[in-house]
Amino acid sequence: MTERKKTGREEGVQVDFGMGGLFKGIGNLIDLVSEMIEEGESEVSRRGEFKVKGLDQARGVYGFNVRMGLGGTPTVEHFGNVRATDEGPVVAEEREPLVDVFDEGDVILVVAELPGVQEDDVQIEVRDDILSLSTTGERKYAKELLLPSLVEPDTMEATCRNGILEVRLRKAA
Amino acid sequence: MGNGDSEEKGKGIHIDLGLGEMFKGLGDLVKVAADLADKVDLSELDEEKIAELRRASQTRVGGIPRGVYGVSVRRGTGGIPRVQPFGNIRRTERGPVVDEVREPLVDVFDEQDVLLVIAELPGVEEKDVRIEIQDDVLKLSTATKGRKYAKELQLPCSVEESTMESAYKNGVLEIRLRKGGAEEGA
Repeated sequence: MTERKKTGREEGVQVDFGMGGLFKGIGNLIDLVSEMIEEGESEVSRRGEFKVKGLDQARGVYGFNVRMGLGGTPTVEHFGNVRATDEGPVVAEEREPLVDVFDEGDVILVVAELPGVQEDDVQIEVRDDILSLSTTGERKYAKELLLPSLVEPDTMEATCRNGILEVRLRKAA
Repeated sequence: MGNGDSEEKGKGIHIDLGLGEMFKGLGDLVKVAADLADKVDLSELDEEKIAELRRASQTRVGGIPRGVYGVSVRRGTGGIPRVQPFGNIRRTERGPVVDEVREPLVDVFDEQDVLLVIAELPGVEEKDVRIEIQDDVLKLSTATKGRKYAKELQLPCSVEESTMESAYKNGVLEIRLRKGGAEEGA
């Protein structure tokens, strides 16, 4: 029995992920974070002085984005500067940016979020179907990504504005 | 009991967070997130949902969203690590939902007389940023056609709204506010 009810709360468009496996995973993750926030506060205040190494200089960021991939499968991509190691997570100086790749027929469009970066500070290298992105300057980002097809590096056009980098590349014939 | 000397892991500075419980929590988080990719199972979704998702993801950045969720960890006052979530995936009773409006990554720094708020708002124009202050609550939103951000944050103390200075550059918004003096009453 489907009840097509239009939800009254008009707060922009929402995509409902449902309760499936991946999406349950996301739910668990969010729960875990809220737990961390609550526990963190009580745990830490209970223990008084808490030793934190290195966090003065660095801030840890960890995140993921989910979108429908080019083949119609949802893809999960990670970003941030927290890396998992055998000894637990460590914070790196370089942050992996949030990147989206769009297939636009003849052209591949790569959109990266690089807040705090100027156009001059961006370096892009393309070899075969691998794009390497890095920045110099105050905020450091680095990412290597596999493009969905081979491209012609000479056709690259890149713009960086308001912290968003857009790179266009013609697909190789 | 491993020895504390962290090995040189090649390029980049790796900082041991040394967060104890927090550390474990973050480790779990990374693990859970890594597992997510393996959990992708379209068979659990009905046709309609798949079509909906596909439509959503084909719309470019300005339109319907992709889901973003993340946490930032940094040292807070008194050495207490502070974890803050950001992104546009919200928990609802029906499961996680991707919203059009994204919560940005925000840091607040206490600089004695002044509070400094730094928000990452890539892809908006300075003129589209709206900042509102009520006592010790700062409301931040963007009214652009493209990317939409909104965040309400509790400042560590009350501030003098008239002293607000803000600047937006390369996707980063900086707001400076003088702290409110010990007001008349107290």
